[in-house]
Amino acid sequence: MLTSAIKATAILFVAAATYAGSEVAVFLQPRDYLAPQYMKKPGGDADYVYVVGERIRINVELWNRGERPVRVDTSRAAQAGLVRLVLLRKEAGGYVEVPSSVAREGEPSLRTPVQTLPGTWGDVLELPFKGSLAIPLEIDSDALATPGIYLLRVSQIPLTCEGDCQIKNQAGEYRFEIRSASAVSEQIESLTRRAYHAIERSRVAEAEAAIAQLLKVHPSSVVARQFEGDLAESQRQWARAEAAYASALRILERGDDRLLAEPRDHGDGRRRYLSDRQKAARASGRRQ
Amino acid sequence: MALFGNDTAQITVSLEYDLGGGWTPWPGESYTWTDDSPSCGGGGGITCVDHVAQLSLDPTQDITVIKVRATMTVQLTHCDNCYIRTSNAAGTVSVYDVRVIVERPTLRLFLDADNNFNPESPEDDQPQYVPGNDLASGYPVAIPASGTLIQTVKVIAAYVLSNNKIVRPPTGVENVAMTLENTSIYSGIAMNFTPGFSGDLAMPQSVVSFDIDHTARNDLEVRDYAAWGEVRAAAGSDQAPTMRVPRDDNTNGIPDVGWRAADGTVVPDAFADPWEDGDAAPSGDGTPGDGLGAIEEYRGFRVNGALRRLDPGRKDLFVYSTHPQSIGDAHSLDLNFQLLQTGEMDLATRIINPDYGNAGNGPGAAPNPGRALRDDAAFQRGLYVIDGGDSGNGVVGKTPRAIPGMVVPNDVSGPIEIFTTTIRKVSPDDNNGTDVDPFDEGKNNQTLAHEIGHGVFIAHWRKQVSNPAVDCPDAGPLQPDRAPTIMISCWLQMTTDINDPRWNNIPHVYDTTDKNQLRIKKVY
Repeated sequence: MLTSAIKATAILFVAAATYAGSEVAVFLQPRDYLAPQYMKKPGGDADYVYVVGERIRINVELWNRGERPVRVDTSRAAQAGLVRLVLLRKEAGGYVEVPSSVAREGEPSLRTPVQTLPGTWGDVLELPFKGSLAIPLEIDSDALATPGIYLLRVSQIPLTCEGDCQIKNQAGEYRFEIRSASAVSEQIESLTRRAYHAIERSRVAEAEAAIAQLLKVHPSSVVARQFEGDLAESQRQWARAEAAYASALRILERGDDRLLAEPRDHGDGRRRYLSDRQKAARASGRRQ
Repeated sequence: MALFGNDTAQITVSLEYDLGGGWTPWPGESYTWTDDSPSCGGGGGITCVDHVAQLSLDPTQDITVIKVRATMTVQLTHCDNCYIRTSNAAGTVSVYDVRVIVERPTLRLFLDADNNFNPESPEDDQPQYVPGNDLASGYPVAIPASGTLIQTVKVIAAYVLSNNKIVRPPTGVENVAMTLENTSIYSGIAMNFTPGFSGDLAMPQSVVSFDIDHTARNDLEVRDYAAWGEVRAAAGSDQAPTMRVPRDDNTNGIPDVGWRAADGTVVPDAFADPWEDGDAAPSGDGTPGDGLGAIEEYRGFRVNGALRRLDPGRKDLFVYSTHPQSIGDAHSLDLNFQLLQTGEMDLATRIINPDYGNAGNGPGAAPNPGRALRDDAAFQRGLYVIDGGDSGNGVVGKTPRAIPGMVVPNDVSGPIEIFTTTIRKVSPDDNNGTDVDPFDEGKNNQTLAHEIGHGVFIAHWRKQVSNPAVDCPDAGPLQPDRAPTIMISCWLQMTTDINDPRWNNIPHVYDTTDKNQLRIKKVY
């Protein structure tokens, strides 16, 4: 936990007068986002795609691009405290704002050029040169039950800083599509992502259940076998990991996973990746 | 004059004038005859024949007080015979015509772009004026809030003499009628900034009164960074010469004075064709241009919140990157990167010059032969870079292509994806697919540069002929021996030690071979 002797009161974002020439740029970034494995990528109006019911997680990131450190007070950072977001849905006449709420999800993290440190809400965090603060948020809206094109936009940055300091909305738009779960590919994608998120969070039982369910729905899933390998690797079960990767590789090379969105994507990148992971698991097993 | 014996005489004639301040000798208009002078010699202003003397008057001279007189003195300076024989001297001089010839002043227009017009010493800013620029610095003024003016300058009408002196208007002339004609009506106010206006120049008043300083001043509203139009003025029976704003004698839509690019380069207007697109540097694969005509580079783009006019000698690449690392190591490409922020490029189309249309007059107006020549390439696209999250298949970056092979920005089919989560999994320290490492700015910078390289026609670095066994499987001939560059591919095959942090062996730079492939403009 980062702590600071300075507990701010009224000012959300504090930059001492001596921190002249600072610039803080605001970005919206995906969090825990797995690129589509089975469903098609979004079209030109969106960069990310979710299936109805998926959680929309993003990071609001504040990057210090100045040459001097600045301090960010997170004590009032609940929900839209540091930036205000609006959710818009694409309609026939253009984008229309829809009701939404933004919830904090987890603690902020402070990145410096050399390390990532966890923070705690309420701290005053000092952003060094090239440092950043990542604020994990989750977007909630009843409107997201309706498939369509959505745009999350930074509408206001109610931060202030003293001296020659600018707050810039550098990339404050997050364009995404919500798809119906009615199509098979979307259902499989949804299961895939559930397994992915469980692995990412080291929830082994949940991950195993999700992978099993994925294999039940789509027995020839390359990604399910790949995830089996990833899960085994994370548990240092090298033989099991090697076998899972080998299985995934066989399915891929035979072309058995006919639902895979881009089986030979990017110069056969997945084949090379699986091959590499298989070798790594084997090598690790030998060293064990 | 009749003189006898040793007698001598002298006659002196001089002209004087009074302009209201008392009699003043008329310079050069005095002559003295003596007895040994030729009886009617020349050499002076006043001689024996009709003579016209001229005097320049101040433009403000009250002509009702002007007086002119001639004075003659006759003197017998030596006279022995004044009593026996009569010597005598006599003369006649007369001012028989005084004319005041007044130069007819002409009505003309001045442009005052910096609000410092001095009627005592009038200066016209029109020759130096670039619409939307601060005259002193030569750089554009700040982009206004949507729907508001870029700047307001003054158009000043006045009667002037040939010596550039402003004089009072002719009697009975109290007003000037001003009109704007042939204005441009570009879409937007810059190449990528909408909305625009129904006219790029406007004058709120059509009739302006002469003020006490004998000038009639009207606001000229500038609503586009390449505004173009003609101001006409009439007062009484006088018509001022048409003033084109900005000065543009060759009517190519670019000010004759040229412009100062954002990088400081002073660009002269040497464009016979305003759509000329010949950016030479960096040379890349030898294809000149960056998809933007000279007039587009002059008009400028909203980049990072400010209006930037560009250098038509250097290739520009527009990038909107949602990555905090922006374009990473791609800076070393030596292009003029125009790094956009939210709202400065339509992300669905990535067109960076959508507002090229001109519904009015001047370049770009329909029909537009210059543009028609390149209708299929009317739009230039930028690159859009996003964080793709986790690719799920080990791929760390991806540049989607609309056509097979290498691509320029117009042939990139969507956002370039940098999979930062995947990078964190496969880059040091752990170098495996499951342990997520700390955010690795260096690897993001490399991946950004690699994919942006693909977006400007740069192919993968390939393995050498001398070591074909470890070549990548993805297409392309083997290349001669060459040190690896940031465009390296198949890095996973680069080592037999699976635990070697292989990223560390990847350079952060392009080499000459990479740079010599660079191309931005689509070649049809």
